[in-house]
Amino acid sequence: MEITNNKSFYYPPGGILIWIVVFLELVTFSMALLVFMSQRQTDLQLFSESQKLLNTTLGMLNTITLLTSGLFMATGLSELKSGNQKKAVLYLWLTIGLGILFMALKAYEYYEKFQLETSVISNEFFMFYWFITGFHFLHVLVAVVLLSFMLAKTKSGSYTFENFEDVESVGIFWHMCDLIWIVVFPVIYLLH
Amino acid sequence: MTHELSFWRKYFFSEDHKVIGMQYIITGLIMAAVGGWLAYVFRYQLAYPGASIPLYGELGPAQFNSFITNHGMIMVLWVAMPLLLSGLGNLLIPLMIGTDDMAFPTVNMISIWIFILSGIILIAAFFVPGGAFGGGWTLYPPLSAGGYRNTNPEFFTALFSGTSLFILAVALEIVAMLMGGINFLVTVINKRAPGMTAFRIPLIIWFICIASLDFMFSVAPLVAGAVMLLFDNILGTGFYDPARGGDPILFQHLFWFFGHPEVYVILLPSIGAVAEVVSVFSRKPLFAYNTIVKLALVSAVLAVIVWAHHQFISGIDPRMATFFSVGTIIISIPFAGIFLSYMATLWGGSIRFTMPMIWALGMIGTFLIGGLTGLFLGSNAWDMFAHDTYFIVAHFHYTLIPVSLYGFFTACYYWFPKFFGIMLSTALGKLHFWLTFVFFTGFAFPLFFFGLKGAQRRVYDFSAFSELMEDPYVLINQVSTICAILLMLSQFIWIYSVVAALRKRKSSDPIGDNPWNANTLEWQAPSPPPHGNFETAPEVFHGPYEYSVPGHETDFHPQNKPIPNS
Repeated sequence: MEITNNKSFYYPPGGILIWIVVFLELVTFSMALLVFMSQRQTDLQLFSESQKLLNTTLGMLNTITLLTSGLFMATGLSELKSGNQKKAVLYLWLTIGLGILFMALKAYEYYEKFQLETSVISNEFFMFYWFITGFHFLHVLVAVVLLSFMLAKTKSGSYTFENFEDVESVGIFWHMCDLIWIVVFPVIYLLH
Repeated sequence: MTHELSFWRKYFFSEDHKVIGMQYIITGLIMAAVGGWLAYVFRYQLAYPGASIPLYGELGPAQFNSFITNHGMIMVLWVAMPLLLSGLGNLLIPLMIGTDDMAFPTVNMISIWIFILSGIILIAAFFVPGGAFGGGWTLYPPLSAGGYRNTNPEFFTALFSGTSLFILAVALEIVAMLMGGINFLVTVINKRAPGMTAFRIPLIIWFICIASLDFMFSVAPLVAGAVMLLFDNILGTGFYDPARGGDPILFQHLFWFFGHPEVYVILLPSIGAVAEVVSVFSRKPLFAYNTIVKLALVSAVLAVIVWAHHQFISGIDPRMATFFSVGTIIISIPFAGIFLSYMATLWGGSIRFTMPMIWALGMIGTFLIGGLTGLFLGSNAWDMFAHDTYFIVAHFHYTLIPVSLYGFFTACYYWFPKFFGIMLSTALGKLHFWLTFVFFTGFAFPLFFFGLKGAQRRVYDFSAFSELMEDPYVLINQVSTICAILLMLSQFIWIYSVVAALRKRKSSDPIGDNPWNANTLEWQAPSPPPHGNFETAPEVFHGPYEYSVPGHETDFHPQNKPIPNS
């Protein structure tokens, strides 16, 4: 027997599930940043000296990359909604490309840190630096993998202007990665 | 939905919410047996220090520590949570809101298997070199953070140490519960039957949702904290190591920010089951249903701002301590309101002393003692004295056992006929209830006095403390141990009665779909409910507690049938 629902699953854009996930992620990351801020008060000198070792130029480039990819994501979704599947595929490619660029820049940044012999056990600042940016990196990685699935299925025509909820929810996850980075970047890299 | 499923897909990797609920409950009961076994061994050591324990042998101090640690964690995360939140939630949510299954059945199946995996990892930790973790179930660093080691550990040794496996098991358990909790919320938000408006949802479903929300909100920081702890152990970071700028108190905050709401996560589904039972067997509408929902929401908000009352002696600012004290005492107000509403429901009702009702009343009465001693402990001045003594041990056994044991049995005796199509024996049930009640009181109540004398918890052998080896206190320990063992043995009556009922299921007369004459939707489905639950999609016309409406022949009105002339 089939029971029809009185409400669509997808009442909030992307479905309620992704919003619960976003809520949990934001709580977790904001808690980690709060802890970072409170630990910073205990040894301001150590934190500001270690912070000088970070590469803010790369951080800025990363911010621009992520924000631009967010724009492509949103454009791609609206193209899909208006039925331009080919354009949607193009924009998804661009989104994924910029996501990979982000990870490459980040990998280079981590490589630089290894050159400076600042790993996760160096000092308290770098513990948090690796912990928070590392988890953000993992989120971007997961999002890129999900986006690749979306790309493949959009290309094969599984997603259309009537059936775009999965793409939409992955898009929301992608924007969440943007949002987290926009907070993480100033707090860890810039705040003196 | 008529296609035949293979044996494995039907009973092991099923996506049916009822099978998954049963899997949660069976896993929880197996873990309860493990936790009970641990309790038997260390209680025996406490009563007769150094004696050879029957069926075990001598218990060394390190094993004692790991036994109490694992007993605590198992009973909270691997028994109370699966029995009450995941078990009842999975079994009841789709049936009570009138739908065929959970919103994400596959996620649900993955969740139970991650949960089982986490339990296996926890038990496996007993068999690695060095033994299971023994630093207390609260996992406080430095004991849990490898701080007692002076050198950086080798990666794989550290990864497969008892401590790391313990943390990993906890993290996986939380992941499983998160998947379940998300599923519960989405199902209730999106899959309700037509007409099931917010204030027509049965109270237990409301409570499970509020508990899931509280759990999800509070557990996220702990996941981050547990990963940091794991890094401290395996990678040699120093998040919690003061020598390298870390802060061990930080973990206490992250742990209790989860740990305190966790109490309400367990409590709410349990008192939800009590609410259903109290209303059905008083044949009266539940008193102040709307207010109860609002009180529970208030308590859920308060629950996340009182956590530091576990840390009054960890060196927090006295002004902060006052804030947390006041908050803790305020949180008793919504729960007093909820329990008074249950009393008001009983008042003037025509009470049926069926087995579920007896357990529900037992739960209300016993929990009262736990709740009232909580008021003492919430006051920071008094907590300085009682902290980490057996008074605390008695207090939380008086809160958690009524909630998880009595609450679970309330639900079990009430919904057993729905899921198996046969009643549990009342005679055996009464024996089971009274033995449980007497032995539980005999086990936990004397410990209040033991604690007031100053007995610290987590002590291996009290014979070194001369004031605790005086006359009544040795006896108190022995009485408590004997009663605890008898309490565990009494549970075999319940197992026997379940097995006996299942064996004669085929030969006995069918009891019908609605043996208790209840209103809620699950009783309108066949017993046991088939895959897909309802024969026709139910539609809801009124609230769940419309009992004894004046001017009608029957005293109950199922939610899917309109009340005539009203």
